[in-house]
Amino acid sequence: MPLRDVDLMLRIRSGDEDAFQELMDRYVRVLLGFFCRLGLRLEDAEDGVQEVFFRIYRSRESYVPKTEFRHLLFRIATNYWIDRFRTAKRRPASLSLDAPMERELDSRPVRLLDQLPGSDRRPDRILAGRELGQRIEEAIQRLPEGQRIVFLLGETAGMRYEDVGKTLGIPVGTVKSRMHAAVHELRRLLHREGESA
Amino acid sequence: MSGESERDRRTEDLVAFLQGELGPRKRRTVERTLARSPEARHDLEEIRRVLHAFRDAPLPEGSPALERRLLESVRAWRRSTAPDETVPARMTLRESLGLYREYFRYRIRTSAGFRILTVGTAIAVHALLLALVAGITVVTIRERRQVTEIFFPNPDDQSTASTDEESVLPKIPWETGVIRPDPVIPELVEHEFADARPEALADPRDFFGKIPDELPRNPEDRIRLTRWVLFARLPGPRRDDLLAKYGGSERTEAAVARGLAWLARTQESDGHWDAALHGGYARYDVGVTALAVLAFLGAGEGGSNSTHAEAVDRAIRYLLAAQEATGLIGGDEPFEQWTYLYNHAAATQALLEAYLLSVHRRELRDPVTRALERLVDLQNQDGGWRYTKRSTASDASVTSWALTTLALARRAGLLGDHDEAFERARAWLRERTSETGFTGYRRAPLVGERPLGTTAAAFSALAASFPPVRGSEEKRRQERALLECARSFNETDADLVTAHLLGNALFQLGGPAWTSWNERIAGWVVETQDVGGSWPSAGRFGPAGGRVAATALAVLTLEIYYRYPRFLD
Repeated sequence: MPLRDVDLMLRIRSGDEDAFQELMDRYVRVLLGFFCRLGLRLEDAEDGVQEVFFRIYRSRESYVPKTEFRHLLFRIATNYWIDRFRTAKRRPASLSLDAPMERELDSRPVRLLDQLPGSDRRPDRILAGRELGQRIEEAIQRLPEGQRIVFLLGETAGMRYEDVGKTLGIPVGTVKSRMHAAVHELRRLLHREGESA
Repeated sequence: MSGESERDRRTEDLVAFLQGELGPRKRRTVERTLARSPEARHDLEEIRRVLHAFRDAPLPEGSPALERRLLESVRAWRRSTAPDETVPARMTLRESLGLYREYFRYRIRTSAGFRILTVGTAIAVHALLLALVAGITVVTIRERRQVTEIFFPNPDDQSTASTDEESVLPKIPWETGVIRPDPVIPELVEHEFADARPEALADPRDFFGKIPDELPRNPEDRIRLTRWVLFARLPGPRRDDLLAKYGGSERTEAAVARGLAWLARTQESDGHWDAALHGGYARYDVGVTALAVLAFLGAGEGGSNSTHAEAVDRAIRYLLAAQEATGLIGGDEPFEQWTYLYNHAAATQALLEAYLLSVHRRELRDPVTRALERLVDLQNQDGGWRYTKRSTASDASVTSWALTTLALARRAGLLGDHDEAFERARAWLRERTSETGFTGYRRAPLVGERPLGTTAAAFSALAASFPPVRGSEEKRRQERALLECARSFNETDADLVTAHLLGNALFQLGGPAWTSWNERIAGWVVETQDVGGSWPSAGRFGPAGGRVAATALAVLTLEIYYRYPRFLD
């Protein structure tokens, strides 16, 4: 029976490097996906993953299994992303929250779709109809920032609304309405994509 | 339109339904709606499809070397850190018990199987204990009977004759990351704290002829006097005298040094402390960083020759970077962080102290002034302060913090003419103070209510803001309330926030009240320090700031002897 995350963390606390490796195996790709969906380039996302795991390791002695390890991991990841967002906010050509086209001003568009293995961006394939998973990635990229982070924390981190609220410093009611707005928008975008495909 | 909004509400519930966020009653309502409405069922299916599509979507492949790089960076960090970091610190018995208690609680919360196992074990243990007690009782009764029979035999009782079978005692159960190095900060060598400037340490009598009874009118004289008062915390004879006078000791000083060392070790490379990483809420990064800075400055750290000069410098830079054009520090409106005023007030106080304690850091003056003006601007119509701008109702906790920060700025001559703001704040606090002298959070406490933290915070804020009014009945009531608060404080709650606030207030009160409080609390704070130098977050307010805030508050509590003067003197 595989060890639980908290048990791995307790082992890491005692200096067990294999446990740390095991924890990375479980979460590196999930975290990469989280960061990419939040608009980071793959190389920036890798930096983010590295930083998050490093913080986890460095503070292992402070670890107390009060909450799900997964929640702690994503709280740290969110914090890291918010810090990057703060920095980016001060740059003139910042990542726009609500206008995906503006991101094209950057050297390349930021989309998880482009990072996925086997993604084929040829027009004929697009016209032939894309996979739902690929279309949903595009739709997520179009969500406003506030809705996207709520949706990702709920769905990727598996946080309850209350935990999402605590992580972002917003009331539970706001989490609920943003989650709904995100799902509603995803439905709408998928419909539109489906019609145009 | 109303049809659309009704459908919106329904789909909102459907999303929450699929994500398991509805309570039983609401869940039944949704199930009934689904049973009768094909449209609702259609919506549910579509939402489910969206969520499943997301959950099934493939994840990106990272670079194959990512995990290897990460492991290498961790190993490099372990090699480069101090020797005490290479081997995990040995936990004390208390820490180990605390850790496994939390683990046990966590498993009970999250695993039904574990809950069943725990309940089963608990029943078995209770049954065992019950059997033990029963066994002991039977044995005792029998022994008494035997003793009684030996000394007072009953000739009529035949039952004692054949004792072979009965003498058999009942069976008693117990038998049977390549991480980049921190950048070198060139300005570190360019600024120095006042300790390097002999003229800044000169006695104010050299400037004023005597220590003035009232604050001077000239802002430059004010700042000079305030600086002289604050310089008492710098290591030296003045600090030693104050430490001895108010009840500090080598033991408290050693705990302060250990706490600051822990804070320095856990600082992030960009200068902040990650609250979430140490059990707090991410939205308080700025606030806990400010508390850590205050803890360093409280021990006179920050000068270019001091032990933690780099840590303080990095943290100050982080706070400056977190300031927006409006002067606000640590407010993140895109995320609606409705708790930002704690961040702002604490960061303002930290930058203000840093500015007052330094001579060369003139670049701090403008950010400090803007932060102070913003703090005044954030005062609510009712005269108090609340978590965020223009709240409809203020609270005594944020109000006291804001008022204390502004009071220090006014003393230093850094605040414009804002007497009205102070008067309005005093009036607001008075309205929340009961006839018996207790101050409530948002209303005056009812008879029998004793809010410890807000009573103490309001007392200190008013003591710092206004000249002492001796002999007034109002003052006496507040002092009596404060003494009652001190008696009511329970160390077992390990609430460092309340302990810190009460300590500040009782220090201002002075006399036997302070002496007995200090004798009781200083030892407790020192004893609750963990082996690594930090303090665990606990109590009602512990979770928000986590271990970083707890450590900073504990250090501040132990610096009280020399950190600030007694304004009531």
